[in-house]
Amino acid sequence: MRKTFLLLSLSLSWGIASQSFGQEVDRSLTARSAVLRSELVAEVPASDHGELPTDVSGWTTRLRNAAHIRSYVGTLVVTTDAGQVSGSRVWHACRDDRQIERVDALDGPARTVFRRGGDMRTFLRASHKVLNEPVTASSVFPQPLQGLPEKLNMLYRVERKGTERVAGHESDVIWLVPRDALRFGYRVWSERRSGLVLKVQTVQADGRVLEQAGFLQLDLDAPVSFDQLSSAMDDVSGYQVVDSVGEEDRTEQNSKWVLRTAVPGFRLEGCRMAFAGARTTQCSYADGLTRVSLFFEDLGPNGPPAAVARWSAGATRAIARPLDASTWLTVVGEVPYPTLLLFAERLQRRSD
Amino acid sequence: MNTQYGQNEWLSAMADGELQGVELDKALALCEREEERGAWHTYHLIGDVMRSPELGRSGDTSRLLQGVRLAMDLAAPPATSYVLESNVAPDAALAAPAANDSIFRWKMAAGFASLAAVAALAWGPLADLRTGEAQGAQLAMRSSVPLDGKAAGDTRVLQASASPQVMIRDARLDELLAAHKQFSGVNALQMPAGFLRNATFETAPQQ
Repeated sequence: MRKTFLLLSLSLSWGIASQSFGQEVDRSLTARSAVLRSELVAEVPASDHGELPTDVSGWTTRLRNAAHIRSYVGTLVVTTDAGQVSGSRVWHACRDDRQIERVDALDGPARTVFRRGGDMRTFLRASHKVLNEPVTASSVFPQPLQGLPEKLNMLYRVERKGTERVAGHESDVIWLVPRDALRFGYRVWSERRSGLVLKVQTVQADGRVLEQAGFLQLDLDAPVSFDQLSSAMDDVSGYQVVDSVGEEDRTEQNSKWVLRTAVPGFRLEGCRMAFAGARTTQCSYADGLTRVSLFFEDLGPNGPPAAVARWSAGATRAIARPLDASTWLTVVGEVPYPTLLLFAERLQRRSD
Repeated sequence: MNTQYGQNEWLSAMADGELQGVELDKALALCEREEERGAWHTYHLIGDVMRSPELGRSGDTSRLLQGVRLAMDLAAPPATSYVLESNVAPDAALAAPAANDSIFRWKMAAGFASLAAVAALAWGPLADLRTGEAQGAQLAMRSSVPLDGKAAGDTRVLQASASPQVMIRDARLDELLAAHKQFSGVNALQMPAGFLRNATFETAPQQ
């Protein structure tokens, strides 16, 4: 039974690969990855069977899982409502349960970012420095976005907006609409067969686009070699390695500040020291799709940095204000300003 | 009342509220004719201008503009408690008419992205923040124009839009954005854009 299923998926994948992409695909590679994919495909909700998810949590699972099983190469463009544009070349490879990604910046200073498992490594070409950062530092930050499915559905609802062709692929368009005014919405273009995200827009309540990240061009199931990317990531010859934050500094911290009343939908994920040597604690709150970071800085003898300030670019907003005589607060998130202000105003000293 | 001059005099008198009874009836009957209605409008305009001179200054355009400003003032939502730090209401008022512009701009931006010209718009690490600040400040300034001097009681909003937005040190903000970047919302949807976008904010590691 299993063999039949595998054989069926094999031929199906071959058929899809040669038909849709009409290019010379490494057959053995396709066969091997098809076998693996077929096992994973069974776990992905409604992937190749024509049924699409109906709620937000179903969709986010589909979108997330697609990147676990598909390799691709493409050109990604990020644009903000202010007209800032940034392009990158992306290679993404999967093997078994692991993924590796390489992103080369096409605009601005030449730099390459690798992401593999829990590690992120940035090669800064000009200064010949390599920045090492673990993405998930410790158990304090669990796997990103571990929201309960029901909670996600309470905070957002999904609207189907038909289909559209993006970056050369047919995609389903969905709109993740927030049910309150404390968060932004997302328009997502999801490749029809795999569910891979081709384009995402972060939108305001009135539909105005704040930021967009999308592939201009995408080679889906391109023969990207996991090993090649991995060895490129590990080759630091000629570069000075800088570990941005030492492991010993990323200890679980109990923040001195807590929220008097929770901000609806946001749950505390954990706190940690933000940087080595700095007296800044970072606490992260998440609602399942987006996160807000609170930075508490102990003001030293230099005194308060500046007056109350706000900053924004694209969908990211930040506000800064003193909490008390010795603490400076900065709140950063891809949420509307009122949400950041709610966080700031509801903080109070932990009473132990 | 047979001459045109006489008829107009009647209308003028009626416009000034000086007619009563039979005379008023006759003057009203006059108004049913086209040319008399034109005179009627003119007399009212003259009366308005005489009573409030500024209305007659530069003609229809300025009156229209004033009317629009007045309507916008009346329509402006009341200041919220966050008003010192945010111009949420004016931003929203601006955002609605700009919806189409944004979409068009997106398409334009996407088109330009494939051209070499995009290098001129490229994100540099520190340049972003200043541009972002300039854009934000411009937005704040634009939103303050209709309320300028006309807002009834929204003085706090005026202060917020007029005061300069003091920015925290760019290098510091870079660090905080970098720390926040790993968990940005777009990551949730498995796009590299989240950490990538914030990666463009990164300067070289602090010495």
